[in-house]
Amino acid sequence: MILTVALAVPLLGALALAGSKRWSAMRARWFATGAAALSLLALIVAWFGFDPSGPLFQHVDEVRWVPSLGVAYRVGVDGIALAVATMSALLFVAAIAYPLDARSEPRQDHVQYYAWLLFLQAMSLGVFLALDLLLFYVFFDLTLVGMYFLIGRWGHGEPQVSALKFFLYTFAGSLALLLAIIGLYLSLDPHSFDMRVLIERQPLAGSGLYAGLVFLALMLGLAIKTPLVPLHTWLPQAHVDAPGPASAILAGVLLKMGTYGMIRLPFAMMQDAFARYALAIAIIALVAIVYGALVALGQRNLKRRIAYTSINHMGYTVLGIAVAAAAFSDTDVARRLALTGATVEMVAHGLITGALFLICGSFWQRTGEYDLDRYGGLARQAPLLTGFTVLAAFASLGMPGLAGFVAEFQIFAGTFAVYPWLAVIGVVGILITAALFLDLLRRLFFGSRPLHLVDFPDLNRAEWGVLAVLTLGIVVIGIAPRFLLTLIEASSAVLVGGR
Amino acid sequence: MPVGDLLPELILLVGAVIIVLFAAFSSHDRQAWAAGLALVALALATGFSVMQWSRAPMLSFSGVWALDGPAIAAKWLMLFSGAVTVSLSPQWMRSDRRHGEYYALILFALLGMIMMASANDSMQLVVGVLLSSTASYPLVAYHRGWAPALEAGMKYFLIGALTNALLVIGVVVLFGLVGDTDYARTAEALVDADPFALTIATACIVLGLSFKLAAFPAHAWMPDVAQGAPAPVVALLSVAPKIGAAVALARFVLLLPVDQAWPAIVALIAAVTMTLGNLAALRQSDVRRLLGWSSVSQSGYALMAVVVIGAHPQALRALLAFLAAYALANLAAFAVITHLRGRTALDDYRGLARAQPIVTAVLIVALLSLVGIPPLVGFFGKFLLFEVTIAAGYGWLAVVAAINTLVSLFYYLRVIAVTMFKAPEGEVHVLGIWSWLAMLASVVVLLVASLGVEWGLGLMASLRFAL
Amino acid sequence: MNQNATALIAEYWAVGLFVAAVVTLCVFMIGAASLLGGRSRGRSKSLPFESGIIGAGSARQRFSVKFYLVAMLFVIFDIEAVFLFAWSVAVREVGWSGFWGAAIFIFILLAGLVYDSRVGALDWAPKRRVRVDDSI
Repeated sequence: MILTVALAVPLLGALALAGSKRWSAMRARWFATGAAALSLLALIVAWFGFDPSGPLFQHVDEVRWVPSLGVAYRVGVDGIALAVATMSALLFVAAIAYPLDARSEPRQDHVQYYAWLLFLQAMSLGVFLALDLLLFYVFFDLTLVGMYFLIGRWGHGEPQVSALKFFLYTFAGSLALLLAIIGLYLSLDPHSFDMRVLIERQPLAGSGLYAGLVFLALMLGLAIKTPLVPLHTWLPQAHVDAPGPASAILAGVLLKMGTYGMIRLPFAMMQDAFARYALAIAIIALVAIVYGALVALGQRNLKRRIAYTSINHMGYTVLGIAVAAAAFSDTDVARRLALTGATVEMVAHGLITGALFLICGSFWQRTGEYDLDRYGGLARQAPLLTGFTVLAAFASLGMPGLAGFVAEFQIFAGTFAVYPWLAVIGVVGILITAALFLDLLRRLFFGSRPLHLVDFPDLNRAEWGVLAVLTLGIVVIGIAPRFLLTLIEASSAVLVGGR
Repeated sequence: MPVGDLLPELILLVGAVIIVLFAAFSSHDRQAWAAGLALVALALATGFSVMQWSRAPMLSFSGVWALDGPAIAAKWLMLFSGAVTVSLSPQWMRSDRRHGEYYALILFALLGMIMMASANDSMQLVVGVLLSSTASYPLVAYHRGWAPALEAGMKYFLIGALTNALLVIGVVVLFGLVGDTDYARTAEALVDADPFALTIATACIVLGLSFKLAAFPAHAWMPDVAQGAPAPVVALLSVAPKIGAAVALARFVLLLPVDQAWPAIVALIAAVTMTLGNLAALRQSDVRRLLGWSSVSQSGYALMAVVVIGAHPQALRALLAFLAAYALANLAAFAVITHLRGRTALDDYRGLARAQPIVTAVLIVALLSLVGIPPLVGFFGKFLLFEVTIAAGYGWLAVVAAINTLVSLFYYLRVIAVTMFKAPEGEVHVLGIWSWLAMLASVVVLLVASLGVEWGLGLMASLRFAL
Repeated sequence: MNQNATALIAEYWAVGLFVAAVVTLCVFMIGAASLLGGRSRGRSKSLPFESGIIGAGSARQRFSVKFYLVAMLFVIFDIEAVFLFAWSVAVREVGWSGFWGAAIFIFILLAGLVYDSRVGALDWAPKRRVRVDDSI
């Protein structure tokens, strides 16, 4: 029940906002923040009620929807889903409370903006909480609709082109996913979309070509969303033209759907097929890690650079998942470690990149520019902005004591046990990431200050308040990750086996 | 003679005759009352066909008239689209001094389409196709002073004349092969028929029906009609003939012996139709023409279910569910266009969301349902199609359809983007309360169908052809 | 196959001969005439032959739409007669139900006739144009 509350509150809030005519933007923002926070609260309650030694899926709700197709409204969480969903809810609260960086828009319009954000929140949480394949797909698609309108209407640059490209590209992935879902559905007798049944029965184990095709379509769909390297080209443009908070959601939440989907669908339901192709996927992930980092290093556009680091970080996550899927029975502990690491990476990356993109939004709001060459020497003028950016950047490059380190350490420890050579190459990615973030900080905050930045204001209260919450999360996970690890390990142990 | 089996159709016929007489004797300002008469006739016909529902599938009138689930479900859909069209029309036609018989033509066209869906005899099929065609030609060219309408009507007529002639040739060859027009005896006699002549007959009949379906190769009239015909008529002609023809085609191909390669041919037509329609729609800058092409591509999807109609027990359900979803969404879209006084250039839709939020919402819901975005009913229609085609071993066709869905998203989004993201220009004139109500009715039915999918599927789960 | 071809030739050789004879005769008459006959050229020689009267005007004239209208109405009611003939030969077998069927059919066409006359489709001259402005 508690999960349904977490889904319904933002949806009802969105409806209320869409129907309201005379609300001021300020009031709409507070209302939306409240609705998002309630949803977050519901998830925190669910967290406290989660029993790590209990069954895999807990808090399950089931309502009949289309029984003749085996579709039902089924929600429930395991530790992985709960961790990612809670992070997403937190990020949504932050994004809604953060000031919108649209520079010259009528304020009346903003009520709709908050309505769309709440709608997107409901749909995104739905993806993480769904226990029904079709419901998963429904939410997966509807997030595209929400994000399409957010980018197209409140973006800058060429928002409509970017929004269209984003929608078409990721919808192509969705369709591959749909075909694969039908493939999975047809393999079960009687046909059903219940994920629990699919995970338990592993219907496609050992069915050769058919399983291979379904697996390929699943991975294709999810890899576009993640995005893995040859399929990443939609990402930078969508990010650059999206408004800051929407960018934070895009990187922090929507990308997670790809990797979360990999854990939930192919990893859990087709262990056999995944194990066969684990090495190939690990190598692709490695390419994403190195390529993403190198391309990010070459970017002179602030937002583009951060967007490419997302590709790099999602590469770590996929590497962790692929390692966890590899079929070596003597490395259970290492594989569990890798899966836990991959999940922590999702949470950490959501918080860190969310904070970084919100900061990008603040830059845009102040100057209307992303070009790194136009900045410099802001450290003295805007100490708060500098502090938060430095913290988030260090977390992103994997500084010990911050969230990114916990995740990457576990992933690489696990990888080292299973595919030692890949781990060695992968560490190069971290090195490049460090270089690119240090370079970013140098160009933004140090050196000489250009003339047009003389009256560059520091963060206001709303901005630093939100960033403080996010960075607090980053630091807590970095210093005392036990509370998160207990939750995730409960599920990764079941999924990898050996509990 | 079991006249009761024909009651809905007889009511349509009598209603049309009454409307013709009424229109002949009433003055200009009372011509719109004929719309009321037509609605009454449609309501009565729907009521009587609801009463036929609970009966077991049967054949009537010595086997020429099928009274089974698919026919009745198709009848409901066609009657509903007729009702939406009729209620959209009075204000659209207001300036026409003599439009009473327009409603009679709509009823005659509907009667022909219903005959197509129910025909269990090849001559009956011909009569249905011809009746619906001849009644549709004047509907398309009803604005007789406007050149594009005449052009559309002429194209419609020429393509129709050619394909109807082909249909008749096909039926005659079939008759020559089996010595009977009745489907039951045709099926028996076809087992050892000459395969070459049978191929010719099948090809001609499929071609003839592809005209009504607006499927390749007889699809060329659809975009012109969508652009030139009165907008309410397009709502009817882009929906109802497809339903009738799809059911008729499904009924017909089931007669063919298994060694005939018809599934491959229909699959090819399906793939070509959807691809062609989508590619042509991509660059359209005219919303009505765009929707016309999209309607062509949707016929291609519907044909996917016909391909596997004999190979999968749920294919018929998928076909009907898809047709219902398509019909509701397309009706809503054309209701919006009619309500906006037929505004058609894409640029005229700039910023519509600010000026007419509800109308825009209806349009967006309709377009998203046409793409198949869940949880709208269009998604379930496509999902069922994909399911049966994959399960029956036509995975490649499902992949083609998925790619086409992606392509179609592009042009639907173009329309949505123009309404949502551009600044409004000029004033938006709307038609009036009737079209407003018809638009709301169609979108409400669309949403109810989306929520009540389970009920609808339950209704259709056990449908079988009477044969 | 060969047997069939032989049988075919045996049955139809006379027809083939006839066709060949016709073609030969035509070719001979036209060919001989053009080879042996004399020729004269002149303006009147290249005109279409109309019984000695020189043709006037073009063949592509516009006719009043009324002609087509009457032709169409004729076809409709002619076809009615065709159906009624079919009924008349079976009038005993189909009995009263056939009678009512034919009656409904006639009444529907009658309604059409009434409609035609009301909208002015049967008026040859446009005298009642005041009431109904546009004809079909």
